[in-house]
Amino acid sequence: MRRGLLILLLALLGLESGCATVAPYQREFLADRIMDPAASARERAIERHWVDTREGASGGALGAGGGCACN
Amino acid sequence: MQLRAWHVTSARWCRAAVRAALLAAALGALPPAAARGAEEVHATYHSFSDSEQNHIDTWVMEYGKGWADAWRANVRGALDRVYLPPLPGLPGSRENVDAITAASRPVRSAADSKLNYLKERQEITGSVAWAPRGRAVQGSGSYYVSRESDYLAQQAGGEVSRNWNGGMTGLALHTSYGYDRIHPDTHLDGDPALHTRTSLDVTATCTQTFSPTLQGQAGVELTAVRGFQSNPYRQVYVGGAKMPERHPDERLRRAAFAQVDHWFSTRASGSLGVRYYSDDWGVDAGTFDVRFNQYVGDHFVARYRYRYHTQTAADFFRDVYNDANGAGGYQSGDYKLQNFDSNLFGVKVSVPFEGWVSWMDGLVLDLKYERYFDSNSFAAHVLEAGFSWPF
Repeated sequence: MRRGLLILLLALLGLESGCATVAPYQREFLADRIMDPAASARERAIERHWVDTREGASGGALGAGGGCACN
Repeated sequence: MQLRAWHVTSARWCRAAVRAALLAAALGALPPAAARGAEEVHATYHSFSDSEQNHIDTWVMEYGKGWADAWRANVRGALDRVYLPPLPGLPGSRENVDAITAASRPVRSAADSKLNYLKERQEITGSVAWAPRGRAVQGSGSYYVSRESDYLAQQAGGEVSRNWNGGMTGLALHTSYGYDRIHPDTHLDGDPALHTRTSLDVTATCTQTFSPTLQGQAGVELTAVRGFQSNPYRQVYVGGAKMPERHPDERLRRAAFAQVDHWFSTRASGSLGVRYYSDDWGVDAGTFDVRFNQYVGDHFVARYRYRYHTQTAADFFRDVYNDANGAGGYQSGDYKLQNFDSNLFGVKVSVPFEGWVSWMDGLVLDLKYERYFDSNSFAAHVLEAGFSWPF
């Protein structure tokens, strides 16, 4: 787990150091609805609920819910 | 008796709250607003049908309203209807007894096992967010309650986020505390005792803009769960005798995740997400999720998706428990704790109603179909239809 976390942080730092400054007027594509990770938040919330009933590796939070019948 | 009365009262309260949320959302949609986007309505119907003939219908309605250029409030109501088929085997037969033993739902008698089982779950979430224009710091808080005949879940959460580097770098810290009450319905050989469970979750997410067409996010999540974590209806054969399922009372769940989104010059985008998970029950898992979105025409969007998940079994999970002590004192019949792989393929289309009729501007209809199957011969159809309407 720690090794995985370290690799993730190093990869992020590596990418961060290699990125150019992007001015607000250059963010047209980034703001598009098919590029916005938050746009699918509602869909993910519903999916997390049923995936929780089939897989034992979810985070366990961000909307615990769900009782015994469908678990 | 007092507990039952309390459960009935809270069920009524929950149903009333969900109805109020649905009514508020419906009423909010009626009057035209002066500033488009200040208010928003979302509605979704979700259908899940699996190869074991289980079926779950879910209706979700959400209404959001912003004010003073900084504040936004949301209320979300959801209703699940779960249909489970009769258990197999003639009443009294070995097949029927085994099915009742392994069932994850209440069965009052052998005759009851031959009836359809219907269950409802009501959920309501309220949240308030503060995001002033031009400020680098934002915050939000939420409260969630979910109610079934045998299960009450509550959760309070909060998030603080900050941007740096001209908005190119962001860090969000989210935490939540959940408190669940599990009060099993009447069940053959069941334990009617009231159980509780708490969970404390902390998630840190970093977002980064790399170029005008590339952005990413990565984070870690830590969840500590304490209390009853078994299914109160499920029993397991241990050393030849039926015993209640027994899982450890504590579980520490850890996950690290990352996602990158890239814009392509063909008016398309691709998203690649990975997640690594491990916990102190011995479950290690990896998930890979790739999505491709393509504009067709000016507004219509088609999305294709593939997700792969693999996980190891919990340390105490066995196909057969020969030892009368289970595995270290624990025994499980939970399919979620097995070793398996799963695959999901999906397609989604989004149809915005721009320029058709003025009062419908901003309305987006979504339709989604997904096919899920795993290495334990389980499969499911997932269908979703919904709309978003800012006004």
